[in-house]
Amino acid sequence: MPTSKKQFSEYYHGYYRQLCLHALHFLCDADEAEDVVQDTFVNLWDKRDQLEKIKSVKAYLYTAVRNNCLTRIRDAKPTTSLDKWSGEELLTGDEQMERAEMEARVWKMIDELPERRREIFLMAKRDGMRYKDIAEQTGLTVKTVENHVLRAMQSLRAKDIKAYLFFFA
Amino acid sequence: MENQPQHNIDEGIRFVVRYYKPNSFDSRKGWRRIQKHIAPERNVRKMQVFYSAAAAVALLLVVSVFYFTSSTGTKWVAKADNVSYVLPDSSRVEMQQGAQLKYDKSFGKSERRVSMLGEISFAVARNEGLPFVVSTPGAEIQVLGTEFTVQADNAETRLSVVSGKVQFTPESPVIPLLCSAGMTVHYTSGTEIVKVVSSGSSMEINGKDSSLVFNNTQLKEVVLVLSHFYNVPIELPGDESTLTFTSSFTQKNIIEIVDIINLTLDTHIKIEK
Repeated sequence: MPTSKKQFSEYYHGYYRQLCLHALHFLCDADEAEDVVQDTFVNLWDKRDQLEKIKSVKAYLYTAVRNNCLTRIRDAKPTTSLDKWSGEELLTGDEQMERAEMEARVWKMIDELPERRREIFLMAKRDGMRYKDIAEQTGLTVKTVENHVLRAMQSLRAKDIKAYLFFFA
Repeated sequence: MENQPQHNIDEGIRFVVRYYKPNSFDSRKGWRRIQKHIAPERNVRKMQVFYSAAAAVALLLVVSVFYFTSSTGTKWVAKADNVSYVLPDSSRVEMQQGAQLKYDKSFGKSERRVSMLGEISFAVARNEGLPFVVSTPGAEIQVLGTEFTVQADNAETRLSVVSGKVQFTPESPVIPLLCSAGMTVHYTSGTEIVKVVSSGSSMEINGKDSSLVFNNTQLKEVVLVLSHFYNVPIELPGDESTLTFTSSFTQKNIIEIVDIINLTLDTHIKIEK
């Protein structure tokens, strides 16, 4: 019995974001990571007749994404591969999965932050801007900027702890 | 050990933030993109199951469709209801009794064009490089997505979209209407009336009387209709495009209409010079 489209869709929606984060650790580029995950799922679809022989589709997908990332790094310029490849294998397979799941939740929570707060949070944490400069650029007070960043951090941490306990406690 | 998860989370947040891009890693968006790689397969599979499960029915279907192949192309005429047929690109059609479908030899070369009469439902195989075009005596329907039904005779064309998006362009007035799932369009050539109905909104365009009726219509659609109807480019600020508008206009000029909308909704629509 080959895997049905419905079953495939469940794998897809269930593992898509965490696999993107898994790939991101290898490739350090969101677009490329998404590309590899997409390719991996297309391959999975082509092999759907054999999927019932696979014990854990999730573990299979993680390994496939990893291999596809390594192929991509190998085929890219050698200089980039040295920069990007930084001892990922220090973690076990299970640890890598847990980390990707946790990061996928963080990613989703950033998606769900109110837009204004997300912008300010990213300016501070991603772009490394000082609160003073953000305040100047947005016309808010330094205090308000600080508040946005702290509350964003709080909500990411707080929600995540709950999720973490729910999954692992 | 207590602090371990917290430490990991902060590290995770740092990592995610470094590469975060809004609207990325969204499985629903990815799912739409992956369709073209897995959809054609699905059609083939369905047809295989269909044939093996009901060979007798399949035979009946073949008998109930008359087809003519000539040097110019192929024509199908359905002699019964619910007749299914697969086009060369593996798109599926289901024809009601009396429906006619024609395509010529160039089908699939630069586009996938069929002309039709009667009532036919389409499940179009996705191929963004080759647009699928259904032409009826009064309108042209360009397919950007998947499933829809068309009923057409010489005077009227009706379209209802089941899933995906199609572009419906009546012969006169020429307005390319983007129609999504749940929408129906009814076009009458003689009176040049186009009615578009979707859940919660509707509009009516009357080319002969030059009248327009909008009922809960999103501004981006209103502006699209106006700019084609009056043949002027109109600028609509992005953040105002999803506001909805209800009103009717008869033989008003475009400047008046734009003023009325701006006054009613406090918007900033402009006619470009």
